[in-house]
Amino acid sequence: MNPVIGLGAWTVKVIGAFGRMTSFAVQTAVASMRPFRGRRLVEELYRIGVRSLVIILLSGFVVGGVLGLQGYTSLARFGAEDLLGSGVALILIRELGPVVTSLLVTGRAGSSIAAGIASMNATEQLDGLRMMSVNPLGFVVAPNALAMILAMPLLSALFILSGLLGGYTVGSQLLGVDPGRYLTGIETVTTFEDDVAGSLLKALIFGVLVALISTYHGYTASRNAQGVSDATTNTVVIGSVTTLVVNYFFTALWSS
Amino acid sequence: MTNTTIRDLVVGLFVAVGMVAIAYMSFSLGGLSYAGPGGLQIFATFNEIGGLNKRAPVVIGGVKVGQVTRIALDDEYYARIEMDLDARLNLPDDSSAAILTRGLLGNQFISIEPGASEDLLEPGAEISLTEDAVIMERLIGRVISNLGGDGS
Amino acid sequence: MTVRDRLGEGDPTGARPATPSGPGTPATILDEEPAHVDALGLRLAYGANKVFDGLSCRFAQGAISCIIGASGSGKSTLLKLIACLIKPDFGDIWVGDQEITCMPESQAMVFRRRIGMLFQAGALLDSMTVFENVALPLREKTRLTEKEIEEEVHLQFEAVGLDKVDKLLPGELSGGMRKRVALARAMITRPEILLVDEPFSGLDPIAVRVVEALLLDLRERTGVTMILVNHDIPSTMRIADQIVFIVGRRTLSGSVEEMQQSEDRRVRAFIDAASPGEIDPSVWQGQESEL
Repeated sequence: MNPVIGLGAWTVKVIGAFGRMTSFAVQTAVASMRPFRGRRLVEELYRIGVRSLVIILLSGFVVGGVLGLQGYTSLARFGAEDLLGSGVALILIRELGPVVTSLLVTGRAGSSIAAGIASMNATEQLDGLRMMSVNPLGFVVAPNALAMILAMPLLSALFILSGLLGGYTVGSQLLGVDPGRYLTGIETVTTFEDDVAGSLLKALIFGVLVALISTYHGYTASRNAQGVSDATTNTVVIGSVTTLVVNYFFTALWSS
Repeated sequence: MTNTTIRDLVVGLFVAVGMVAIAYMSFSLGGLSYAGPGGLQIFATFNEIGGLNKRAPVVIGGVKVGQVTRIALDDEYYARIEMDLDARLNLPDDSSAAILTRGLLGNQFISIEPGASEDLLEPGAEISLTEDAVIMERLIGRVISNLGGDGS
Repeated sequence: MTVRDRLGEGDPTGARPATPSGPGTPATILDEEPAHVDALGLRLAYGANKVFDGLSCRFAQGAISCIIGASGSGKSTLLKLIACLIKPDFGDIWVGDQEITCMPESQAMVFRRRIGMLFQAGALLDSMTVFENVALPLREKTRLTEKEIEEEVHLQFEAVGLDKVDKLLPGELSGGMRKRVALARAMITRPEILLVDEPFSGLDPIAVRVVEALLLDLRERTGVTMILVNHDIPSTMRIADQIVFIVGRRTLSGSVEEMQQSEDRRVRAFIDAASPGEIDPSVWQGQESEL
């Protein structure tokens, strides 16, 4: 095909997809409030938040531990082990916390949302809801999306604290950095305006994006087993790449 | 208890723990407000503060008593530091402040040396006796030039 | 309008189907009964794939109508059109005195309260217990108290012959039980029309008879208009008041007797295939090329 035609076709496709996603998001937002389904939200928070907790805490601890290990060996050369807490804290809070949490949650919960909605569509459960005059956007999609948006900052914060604990365990308990100095290092270097607010905002944005990507792919999947598997794969791939790309631009804009 | 109630409880717990984590990160680590007693605003002016940061600790004899709350330049281009100290402190008005470094490359902080005067520092008062931060590079430069001078 | 008039509709060439006239031709019981659902000139295409190209049919009030036809002839699609789950590209569907194809989704939500649907695999919500599934329509659309809901649900369970299933999840049920639960859920709001998609697929012969009896009993008690998509010719013959045969772009309608006596080769082929004995494969090839 003529590359210009190809580019044009691709552009039309991408713009179309954005349009459909936006319209889907707006419809879901409207449906989420009429009526607001607290019970369903709790159910999905359990599925998405609580059941991601172990993997988040464990990964956070190990990531923090490896930061402690690497940071220590680098800093010890200059006799600056006291900066270990500062280094681990800044890396975790600004970058790794929200990003790794988003990647893990995309793989753990985003894929499950997409597969769940796609298979509900394939087995006519969504049509069944419509037949009961229940809007599936409000009953299925919105609780999933809201739970994802709520859970992401909470999980990210827990990941960061777990990581700081991991860094502490390796740095102070195994390698001998003074525990008080580790903690002081964290406290002095971290500020709410520069680091914590940005970190929470990042996690929230990732939550919104992953929620949208996973529910959209689940909802629009074709009604067969292939559709379910495609929805899952697309969610994980697109969700992860989006997280990384958006993270770069957020960091660039936030620090300027 | 039914399964539903247990699940509700677990979800509630999850949200609560998550909120505590966010609060801890914001307030305790991020210092959204200084956790600990405060209330005594004291100023100090330095020629050179080096790498002193906002929220750097203020210590007396190594014990933390407050933190740096503002760093600004005054009209004559001196660095003017605002500190928030424990209001229960009764500091003599001839106390001195020094910017020290923890370790060779560690974080900088302010150490206050209490004086012997009968009069106390009032809130909003200024510590007049200050000792600037030591800039490692200048120190090394001076040592090297001194060594050079000896050789000639 | 007679059935034969309808047969001509949507045939762009104007050629009549090879339906012999005379005794045994699907006759016009429809025109004598008040129609509850009336589809006129439906056209629907997915890309180049034309599902319907001017299809018309009527379903009588209070009757059990069975839609039969080859796989891929759009039987389930027709049900979804009547349920307003999808919209045709052209054509009208009248349910009672309401035209449903032009309704926005918000109105369709209200309209669907008049209709119950029993999906092929039950379409029960996997994450909810059987009780919650059946109670859902009441919780969503009525202001009944918890106690009234419980009574109503157990009444429906009794009607479909279920007991002690409240706490089970749909995944723990057998195919026949899922059908019954789905039937209880479809009927709990007392709809005036019940749409049933392949009620007998995946059931053993005894379960088939049990579900048949349930449907007949249901119609007896409630007078609901039933529209079934059914592959199972023997069971269609047992329960149907009216058979709607989708052939290509047209429909042939008639009572069971009329269909059995029909000399239309495709109707014959369908009926013969369900009975023991040889069939003539050429009939099927002919039908496929037409689809």
